[in-house]
Amino acid sequence: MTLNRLVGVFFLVFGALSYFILIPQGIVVPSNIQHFTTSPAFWPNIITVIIAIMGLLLVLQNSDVEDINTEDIEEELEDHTSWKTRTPRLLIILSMLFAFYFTIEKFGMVAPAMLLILILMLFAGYRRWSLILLFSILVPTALYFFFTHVANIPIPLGIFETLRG
Amino acid sequence: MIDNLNEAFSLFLSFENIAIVFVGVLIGTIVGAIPGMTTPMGVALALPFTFTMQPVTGILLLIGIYKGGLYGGSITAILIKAPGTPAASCTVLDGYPLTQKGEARKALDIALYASIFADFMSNLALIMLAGLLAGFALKFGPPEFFTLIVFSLTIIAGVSGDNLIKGIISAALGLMLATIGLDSIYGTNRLIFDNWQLMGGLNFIPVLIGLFALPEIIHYFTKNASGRVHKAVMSGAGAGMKEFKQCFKSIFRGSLIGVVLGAIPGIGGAPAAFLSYSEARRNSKNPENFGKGELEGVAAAEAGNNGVAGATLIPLLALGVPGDVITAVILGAFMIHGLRPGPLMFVENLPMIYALFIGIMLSSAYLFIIGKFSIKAISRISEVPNSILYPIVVVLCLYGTFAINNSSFDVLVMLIMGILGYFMMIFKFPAAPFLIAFILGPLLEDNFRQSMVLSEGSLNILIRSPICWFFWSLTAISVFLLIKSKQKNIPLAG
Repeated sequence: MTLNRLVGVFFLVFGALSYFILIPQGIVVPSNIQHFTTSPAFWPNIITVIIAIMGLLLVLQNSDVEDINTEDIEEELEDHTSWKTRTPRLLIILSMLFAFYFTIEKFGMVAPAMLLILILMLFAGYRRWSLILLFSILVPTALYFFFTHVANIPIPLGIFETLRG
Repeated sequence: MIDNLNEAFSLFLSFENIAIVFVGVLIGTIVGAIPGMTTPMGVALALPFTFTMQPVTGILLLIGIYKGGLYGGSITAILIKAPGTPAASCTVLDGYPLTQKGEARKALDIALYASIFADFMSNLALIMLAGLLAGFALKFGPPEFFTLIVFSLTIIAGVSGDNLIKGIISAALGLMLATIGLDSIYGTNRLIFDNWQLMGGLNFIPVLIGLFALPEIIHYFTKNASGRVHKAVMSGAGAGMKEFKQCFKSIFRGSLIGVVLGAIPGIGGAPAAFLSYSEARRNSKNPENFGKGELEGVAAAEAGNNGVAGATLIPLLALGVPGDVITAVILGAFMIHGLRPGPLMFVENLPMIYALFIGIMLSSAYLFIIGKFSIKAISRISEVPNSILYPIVVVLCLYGTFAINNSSFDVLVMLIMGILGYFMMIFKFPAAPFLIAFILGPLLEDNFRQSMVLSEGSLNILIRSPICWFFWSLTAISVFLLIKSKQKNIPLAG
């Protein structure tokens, strides 16, 4: 089965599961609705049916003419990094982003952002330490001062809260 | 009218507003000129900074970025064959050969003149037509709005990608996401699953930044690192009145094409640029020179591209329907300030509309100043490597998203949307229908359900008036044309 058809199967199944499980479980329909078209579940049901039908059409689509394969994807993305190389890099970048999210509560945003810029610049292959340190410190600090003092939006500092100026 | 204009001037005339349009056009030109950045990305990142501004100021900043971005994309297209925006890829065809011939300065100048002329024409169209259309739209009730939005979504889903089916799935996912939260009529939970943070629905800014800024960045970091930086070389003499007159016909035609295509939701700058370019070639005395460094080719492409800028605001301001991602963001900015573009805004908030028009006209003048005097510096900024730029953009995304509600939950939503957007990019699902459907979703559903309440559940109300029939016919025609035009690409089995 081609990748395009697999994507079609995914949306067909997603549409069906949403219609039969997600919506009945996740949407509370009051007993006093005047007409089924005004029900809170009516519109989501229509959407999931559309998703399932489009998934089916994607499965039925003639894949000889238009299909996605990994070569297409690489061409589309205008580079030739193989998926073997791409996958670990993808996992690393996503881990870094989620690690930032999970540290907000304890360490605030400024210190993790400094670290994030430093690591990302190194990860991207940049090696001029003077500029790496400059941007790592300057950008999160400048944004902190803008949001906190100009826009009056307190950016959390976590355990560094005592440093708030 | 005079009272409204007076009020509009007093609303607009402040140092802050006059300066912000300049800042917006400058940021937009820089963002457009950087090959790794896109205008939607620039507008999305600027949005959180507008929270504390006056509505007119914030919206003018975004419009300035939009207009600057359209022009900025042509700078690197001409100098280093790297179009900053999809629409500027047409400018590459003759712009880069001119640079190779040592006439980069001339190409940049004519691109600037064509952009400003087209932008001005587009602004005029906006000012003249938006009010008329809004006056007409005052007759719309919920069923008419419902059919209008269905038509807009169909055409946006159809033209945004290579595949109509994927466009519709993308739009349907956006609509689905928009249903999360409390039901607008009964107040019951919808797809919240006991998470109170979802009760108000998903905020559109994390969805926007996640879909339009993060996927490019994730994609960049998953590639093998490359520090390749193109050097932009400015060469030759500039273009003057003589060259402008020489290209005027193509510039004028391109501007009109841009205005017409820009006013239709979903079409955007790239098709306008290519249509204007092909018309210029068809009508040229030297069609064989096109693609080899013909100045008229650059002028036509840029006129088509920039002609859409003001016109895309026509359906947004008059009907409240965004035609592309950037106008969707601008719609979001209105909503953040508690305003709703559409026909009623022309009745209730006309001075604000006029104030926006004044700012929009001013942006054309700023585009000239920036293009004429700072192009050299801007082309230098475009040499900043992505290895510096993207880590900074990531942090901008994180701060901007957090700042909306002081909520790390929004950061989580943005990251999840970023992953979704990355895989949509991989599997060639266009992101624009998703975002526009997400924004229009509540409006679509509310108008549908209001219609149903009015008609006590009868679907006949959706064909009650000639306006409904008009939009249903347009929807049918556009679906038919989309299927026909893409039949070569997406034949169905059997």
